Amino acid sequence: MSRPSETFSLKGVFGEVVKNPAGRAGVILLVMYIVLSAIAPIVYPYNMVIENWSSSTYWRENPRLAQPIWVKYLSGINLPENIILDSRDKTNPNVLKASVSLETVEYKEILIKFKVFYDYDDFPSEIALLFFNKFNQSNPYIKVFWTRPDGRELMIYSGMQRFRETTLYVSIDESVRKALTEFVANTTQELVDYPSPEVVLFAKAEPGMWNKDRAKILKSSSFGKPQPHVVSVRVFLYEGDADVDCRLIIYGKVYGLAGTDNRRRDLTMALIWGAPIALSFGLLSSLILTLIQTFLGSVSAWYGGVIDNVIQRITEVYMVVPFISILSAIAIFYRLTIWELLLAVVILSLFGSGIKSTKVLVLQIKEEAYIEGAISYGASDLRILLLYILPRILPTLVTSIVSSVPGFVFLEAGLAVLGLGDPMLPTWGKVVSDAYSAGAAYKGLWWWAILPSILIILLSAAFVLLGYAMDKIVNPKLREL
Amino acid sequence: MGKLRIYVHLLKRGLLLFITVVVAIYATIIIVNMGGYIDEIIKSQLLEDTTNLIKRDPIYRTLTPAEQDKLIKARYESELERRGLNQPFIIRSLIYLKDAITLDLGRSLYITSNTGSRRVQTIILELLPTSVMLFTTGTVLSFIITLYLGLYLSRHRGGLLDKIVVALSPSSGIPPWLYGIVFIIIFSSYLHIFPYGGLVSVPPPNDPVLYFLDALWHMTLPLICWILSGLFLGAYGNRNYFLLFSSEDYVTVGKAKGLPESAILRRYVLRPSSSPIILGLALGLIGSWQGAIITETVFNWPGIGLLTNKALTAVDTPIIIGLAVTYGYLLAATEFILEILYSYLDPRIRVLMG
Repeated sequence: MSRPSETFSLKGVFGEVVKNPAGRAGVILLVMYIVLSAIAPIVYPYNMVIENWSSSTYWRENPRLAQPIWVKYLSGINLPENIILDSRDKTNPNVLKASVSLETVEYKEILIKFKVFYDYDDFPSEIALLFFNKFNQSNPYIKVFWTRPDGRELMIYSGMQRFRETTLYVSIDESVRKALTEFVANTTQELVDYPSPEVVLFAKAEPGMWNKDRAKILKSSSFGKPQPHVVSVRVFLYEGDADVDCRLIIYGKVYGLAGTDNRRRDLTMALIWGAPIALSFGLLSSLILTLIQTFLGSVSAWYGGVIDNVIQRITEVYMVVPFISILSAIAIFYRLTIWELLLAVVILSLFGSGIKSTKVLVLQIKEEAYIEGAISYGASDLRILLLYILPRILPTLVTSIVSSVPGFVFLEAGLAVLGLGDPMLPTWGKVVSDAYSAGAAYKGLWWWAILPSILIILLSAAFVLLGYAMDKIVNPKLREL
Repeated sequence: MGKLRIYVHLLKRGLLLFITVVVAIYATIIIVNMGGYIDEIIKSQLLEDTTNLIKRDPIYRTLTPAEQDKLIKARYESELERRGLNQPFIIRSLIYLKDAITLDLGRSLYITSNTGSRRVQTIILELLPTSVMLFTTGTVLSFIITLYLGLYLSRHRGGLLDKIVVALSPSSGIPPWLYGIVFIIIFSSYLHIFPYGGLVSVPPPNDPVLYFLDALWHMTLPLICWILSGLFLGAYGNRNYFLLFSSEDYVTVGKAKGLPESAILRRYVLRPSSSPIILGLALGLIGSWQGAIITETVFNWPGIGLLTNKALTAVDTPIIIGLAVTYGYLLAATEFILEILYSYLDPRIRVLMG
């Protein structure tokens, strides 16, 4: 049969693993994940992630459901990125803020101008204007004008500012839509009920300019000298010390390395943070479980009799108990964090298949001469188990730790899909789950669901490949196959 | 003499398996009821409902608060008694256990069947066919494909197909639901070849033949995911397994004797390797009727898995326990039957038991 007398040092095993192509691939993948895990807390500190991932305001300047930025280069289409201009930004040549005030009466006028050079191949996804108002009693009055590169001008909004911070959602604002309906009617003699501002404002003035599928982009560079869109905000203030600042956000359609989700969250953060979480969840649960099961298996084989019988019976009970149901019941009931979930997983899989495989191994080793020798000179059970038997099964142990990691990574992801993920931390499983429940699969929001899936799959592949390579070393019989 | 020993052994095994099921079901009952905490929730809900009912009813306006409280208490207690909630949880849990073990699955708390019934048995039986249709079919297909592929590979070792399967085997372990999410995006959202999920289209076709074909069309994608998830590792495992057995000495002897290839395969390779393979199939089959919680959720497949998910979310304990006890019995019965089968199939075991 196999060569039971062959022993392996862990160092030797790793040397062998790297010689094997599968093992090498596994090591490379794993190193990538470890690097990702190492940079996660540097790029995004833990507390900041916990605080902001579920926040509703932190992400408001990101585009909604934007694709990853590299889609631009892959598809060759110059998809729009976010354009953000702020009147408080004194250094930007495309931003201008001027004010005139009258000494005698409490009256002041501010003019804010944003120049936007737009050369993308697609329309923006949304447009918003944020106003930061400083006033005491009298509300500032604001008028917003939009001058297109072709010289056509329209007033899209006018109104009173009632709060310190207000947002004009150009894309959904009723008065903007009215202005645009009029604009389309005047320009192309077409009557449209609800033209999308982000289309009409950026489309060439020709029939069908309101229809995002027919309209052509009005590019700044199509003029002899590049012509920008000019967004002018005229502010009328009735207090000398009042002030208004404005921030223009033209939301793009691509963002970051991994795109954004329906709550505008930057998925890069979740994908990077998923790595240390998945790694530690998978490794910890498989490490703890394998150690405990090895211990139980060795004890069961060494002592036999009643102890063996009890362990075997409990293992059978564990087989009948519905694992996923009970785990979900506990997770639903206590809203488990990922570390509590880990504990629950460990307790619910204590008596698993690992016990039996260790038992078979230890039963073989137990019969060998050197163990008999140890017994004869009076070595204690503990000494024999820890010093003479454990080192022999260590390589198998490491192999089984490595190969059972993917199962736990998938388990966490699966529970997240059922809505039982960690309430605060972003994990890959939670991203997949969010994507799934927001209908990403149906709406074709591929990056949202597929990128985390790929990361999960590759992590599992890393461990499976490593496990293969190790298995071949530990089980010499497999080597010939 | 030998026969008797087999019977005694089987009887002992049977008893042991039964005790195992009883203990496992009791553990499930305790955990799913959170050690009785679920009862407390139901009780406080009940008290609140009764209080609201009486305080809001104009008929009882004339009563003094003390009298009202007395009435509330009386009503609440009679309701507790009606539901059996007045007994301590330990006793109730034993009653649950007795009911579960005698397969008296009782009534659900919230979930109803399509016909409006609350009998757990009716609810489970109603959804069973859809799960069996998808997952039992999938398990059987997967078994046949991996068996034949493994056999083929073991005899064409080193060929192109062999290399491909070996290279793809690390993909196994990817659960079917993950394939599901990716495939729905590719095949449903972009290519529009398959539906997004569900059992039939909305509205379902009237013609029974069309209805069947429609269900088949809806079943294809989850079925592919289910099979694909275990395909490469299954085939690879079977291949290695057959290779191990083909390298045994007796196979070489058989070859030297000039036995035909098919006879060697049947007698010397397949027969000794059959018991773990059959065990695998049996476990797969009894697991398959439960559906798969996550896969069914992803494909919105109305089967036992989706029911389990619903029951868990609603903390509908009778359904969870009903499913657990059914599974426990099936598992124990299968193990028992296999034990009998083995004693006939595998001469090694026959000898061992006398």
